[in-house]
Amino acid sequence: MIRRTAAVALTALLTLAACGANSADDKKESEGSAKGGKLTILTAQTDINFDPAKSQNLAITTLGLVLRRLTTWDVQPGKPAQVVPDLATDTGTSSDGGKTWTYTLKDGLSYADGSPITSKDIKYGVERSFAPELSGGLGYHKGLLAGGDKYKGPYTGGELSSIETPDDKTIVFHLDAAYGDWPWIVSMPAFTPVPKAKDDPKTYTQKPVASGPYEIETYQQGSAVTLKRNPKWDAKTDTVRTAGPDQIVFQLGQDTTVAAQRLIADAGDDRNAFGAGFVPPAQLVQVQSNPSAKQRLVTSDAGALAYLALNTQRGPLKDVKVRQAVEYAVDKKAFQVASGGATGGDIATTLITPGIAGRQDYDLYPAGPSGDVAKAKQLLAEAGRTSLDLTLLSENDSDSLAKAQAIQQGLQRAGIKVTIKPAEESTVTDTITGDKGDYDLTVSSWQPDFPSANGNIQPLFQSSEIGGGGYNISRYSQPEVDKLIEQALAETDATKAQALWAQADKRILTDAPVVPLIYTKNSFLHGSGVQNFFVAAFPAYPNYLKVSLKQ
Amino acid sequence: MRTLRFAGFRLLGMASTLLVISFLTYAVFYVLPADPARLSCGRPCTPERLAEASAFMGYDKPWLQQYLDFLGGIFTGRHFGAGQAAVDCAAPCFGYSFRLNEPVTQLIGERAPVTFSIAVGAAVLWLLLGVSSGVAAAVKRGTLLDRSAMVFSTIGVSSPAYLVGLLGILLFGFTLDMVPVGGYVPLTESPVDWLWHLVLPWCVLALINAALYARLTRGQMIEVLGEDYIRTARAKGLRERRVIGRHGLRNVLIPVVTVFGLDLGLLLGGAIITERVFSMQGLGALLIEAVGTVDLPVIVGMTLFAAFLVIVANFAVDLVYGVLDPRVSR
Amino acid sequence: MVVDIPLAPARHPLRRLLADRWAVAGGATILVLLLVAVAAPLLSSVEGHDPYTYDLSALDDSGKPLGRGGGISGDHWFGVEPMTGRDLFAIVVHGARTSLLVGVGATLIAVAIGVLVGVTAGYFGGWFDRVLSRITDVLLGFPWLVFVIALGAIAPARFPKQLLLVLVIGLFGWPGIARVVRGQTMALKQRTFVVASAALGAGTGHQLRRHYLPNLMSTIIVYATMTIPGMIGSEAALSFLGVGVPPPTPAWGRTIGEAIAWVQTDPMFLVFPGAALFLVTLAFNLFGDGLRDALDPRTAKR
Repeated sequence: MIRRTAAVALTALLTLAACGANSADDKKESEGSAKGGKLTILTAQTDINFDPAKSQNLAITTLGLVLRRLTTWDVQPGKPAQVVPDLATDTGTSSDGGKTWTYTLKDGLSYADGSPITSKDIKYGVERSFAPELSGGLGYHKGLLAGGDKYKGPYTGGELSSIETPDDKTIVFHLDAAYGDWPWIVSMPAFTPVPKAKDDPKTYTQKPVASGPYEIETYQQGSAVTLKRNPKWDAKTDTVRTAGPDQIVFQLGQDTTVAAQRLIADAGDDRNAFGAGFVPPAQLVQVQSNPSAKQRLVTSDAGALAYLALNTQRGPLKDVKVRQAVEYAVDKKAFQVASGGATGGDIATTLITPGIAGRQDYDLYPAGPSGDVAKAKQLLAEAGRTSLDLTLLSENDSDSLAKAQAIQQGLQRAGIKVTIKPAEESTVTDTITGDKGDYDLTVSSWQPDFPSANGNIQPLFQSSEIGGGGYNISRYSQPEVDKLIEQALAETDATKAQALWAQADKRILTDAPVVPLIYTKNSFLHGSGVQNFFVAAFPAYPNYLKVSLKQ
Repeated sequence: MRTLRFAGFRLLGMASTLLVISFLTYAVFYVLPADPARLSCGRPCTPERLAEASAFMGYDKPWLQQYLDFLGGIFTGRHFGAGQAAVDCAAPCFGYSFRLNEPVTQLIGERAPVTFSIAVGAAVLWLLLGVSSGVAAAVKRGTLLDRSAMVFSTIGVSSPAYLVGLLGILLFGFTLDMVPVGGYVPLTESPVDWLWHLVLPWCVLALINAALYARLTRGQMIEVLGEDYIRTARAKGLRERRVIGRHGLRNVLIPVVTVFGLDLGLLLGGAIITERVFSMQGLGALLIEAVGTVDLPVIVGMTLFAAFLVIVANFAVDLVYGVLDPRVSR
Repeated sequence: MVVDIPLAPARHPLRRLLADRWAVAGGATILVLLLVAVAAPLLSSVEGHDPYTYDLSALDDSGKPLGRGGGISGDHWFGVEPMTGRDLFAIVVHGARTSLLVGVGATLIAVAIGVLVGVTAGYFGGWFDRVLSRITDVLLGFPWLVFVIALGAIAPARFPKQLLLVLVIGLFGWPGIARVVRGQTMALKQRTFVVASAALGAGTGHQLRRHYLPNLMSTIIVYATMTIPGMIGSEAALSFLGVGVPPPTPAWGRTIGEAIAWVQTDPMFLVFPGAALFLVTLAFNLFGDGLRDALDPRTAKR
């Protein structure tokens, strides 16, 4: 799957877009939250990394069941995602013009072993995320905390002086520059308390000290992870976790097709299961003819943008006319069908996705869903090209290849020959985010870490994000756009900022560095015994923290 | 003395084979256009953080140095990083997976029971099924039994394992709801569940492989039954059952054992597809995942382990020869 | 110089082969499939489609083919592919090209190398044999699937993937035949007519050409025939794993891999490529069996 959750740009606005977050068309009255039962989660992942320093987990999925952070997300059907206090009493108070953030811990917090959670543990947890030995997690704070760029973690570098803990309940962060979105940053896994005495970096991925409602019972490498209740977790201190099931089992390495078929069949233990992966297109069709399964299919609103990136620094693609020809030649309808038809997403024409505040709908290249081949040929002729020969880098799973072929055949109609180069996911990621830029086209999908127009634009189109691990994979560099982005980032007035982002959206597409394909919808299946299973528009994943089982 | 020298040569040969394989693996995967450090660098990944991660894992060194470090680690163990977060990989260290936070040897130890559970059960089944139907077909040559056994085996040989496996899952797992779909339960946890989860893969693998053994056994048996000593034994008035059991089967088993040894040795290659089809996380799944994530230590360690299995299987075949065929003694 | 020719069967092998109904059926099927592969563009143009053009009008909104049996009709003989609307008949007949090309090509390479290595190792013996045998062991020990994946990532996008597959499968496929040929060569060395010819001072090249190769020929032919279905299976397995011939070039293994997910909603999508793959393997196996029996009377069925 080419779906990446991307980081949002750093000076984003705290005000959240009022996105009409909700789940499937089925009924959404509150189902209550029964206690008890064994919940099974089927996932294609073969490894769950519970070390908060190394994890990129969303706040509402696996890690959130075991580990609490300073703040977390409250995601409910029909409401926009919000950042809410978790271990802290509020989402943070800033002073010093937004450069200093202070948090106070709630009363009565303790780990699974009964020892109290202190602010020093949170400081230690953040510090250890700086250690090169524990790299791999979400590390936005590393560039924001004062002195963070030089710090090498507590194992060799002592303490980080920009985090202060005047007492066991208070923690103060000093930043290099004012940063309004800091409350979102402290909802990331690194802001989980880690007791120094219990920290064994070698085994912490499998044996973390639990602060949430569950702790790890068994960890079978590659096959299964079982969670049991953490008796010391106090529901009174926690507003977002309902902790329904007594036991949660992750079945690892499950083929997504087989997992979906199991959930459609809804037999035995699978009645109390849900799938962590998207339902593949073939099973979406299968569900349509099965009334029971149809009720148990939950589809998000259109969220992430799937797009075709054109490497603007390569050969003929340097020519804007050629890129515009591609805009017209692409068969978005075929791509939509390859993604599962109408259930897979809606045809896209803009960069800012629906539901994001300030989005303006427009279509710069009005070609209809199936493209305008004549117009494409005309543009190619204007560019002085009679034929084009391009490569398309794609992941080698069948869903990705189906999408790649939909692009290929569309362009073929306008005389643009496309050779698909299938590769492992890691190779694809490394190539498109690396420095060499050795590809013409690639299909990608983008979902920001939190809902803001900023997240749709800045990481993908600012010239600083080209290579070096950045996601400007069309390698688009336009000083005028860079300036617009900087302006928008600095704008503190929400409405004005939104207008700037909408302006940037159009300005970028004039240069045609990407072809917006569809606004994707994610579909998930759950068993008939599963309740409170919903998928918001953002993030378009199930909220694990609220799932319960019928009793 | 001769035996010792022979054993010495043999061991030396094994070691040099493994050395060549490890070198080739390192060389091939080193030129892969993916940087393992970038994959574990986190987000956002600044060039400084990337360099730190790379240095910690030892990927910043020239590749020949990396290879020599790997070889050295087998004898002296390895040590990455500094302080409390340092990672130790005790000798014999066949690499350390930073993605899974475990030494490769430990990973192999954890995953091997899955692969061996599948392989051993299936092998027992297919040997029994294959050899017995092959013998029966040879003895009752030309009868309906013979012909149907051979038709069946030709169909078996011609069927791709993944297709039969996937159809098996659909039929027995979903439509008939007889066996659980996907997953593995350790024998130690619940022998019944272990068996229950393995029945389908065993049967599928056995069906396909038994076909080959049936053909092989039949061909050999027919040949053996034509030999003089069988005729002599019969002429001496030995009962048919004893002729076949004592004299026939013994000679038939030699080629069967050869093929069987090689098949077991190649088990890892087959496991890649089997485990994928049945959603089981054994060595094959580990290897394919390592390739997907450029987990170089795991790739090299697993490749070596696979080669080691082949060599051991070859060696075991030779030993069994000695038992089965007194003429071959070393 | 006249030397005894050890193959002196009572009946000519060809006649024995023709008497074997199953082998004839297998051979005929192979011929038909070869014709289909060669004439694939012609066949699909008779039907009126190519394997590349999408036809979304043949699908409903969810991507499922319209009509019964996956859209089987006079227009689409095998129906259409879900999610693309491409013609399945065209895909299957063009897929025969991929399967046969890779299967036969890889076998040729494997047999050529295998025979060369086997004969020389068996003939020269000594350290030469030991080194070659060691290399054979090394290759047998390689989990080559992994290398195919790695090489696929290293090779430039424009390098023809079919050729790469032929080379890789062939280069990793020879140890088996090398072993067999080596064993036969060593056995031949002991035979009277060979010993005699050597004693008369025949040169190496002469001996290899006149005595060894002719006597190994039947083994090689039989082995090659039996190897082809394995190679076709390997290609299909690689395509199934997503590392075979890249789309949109039709390949049975890839179509089968995709069709498995659709089997409950559109079974015909699996039936046609699945049957084609099974048929070609079965045909080569039947023909190989018959060939072996015909060339080696000891194992003949009747």
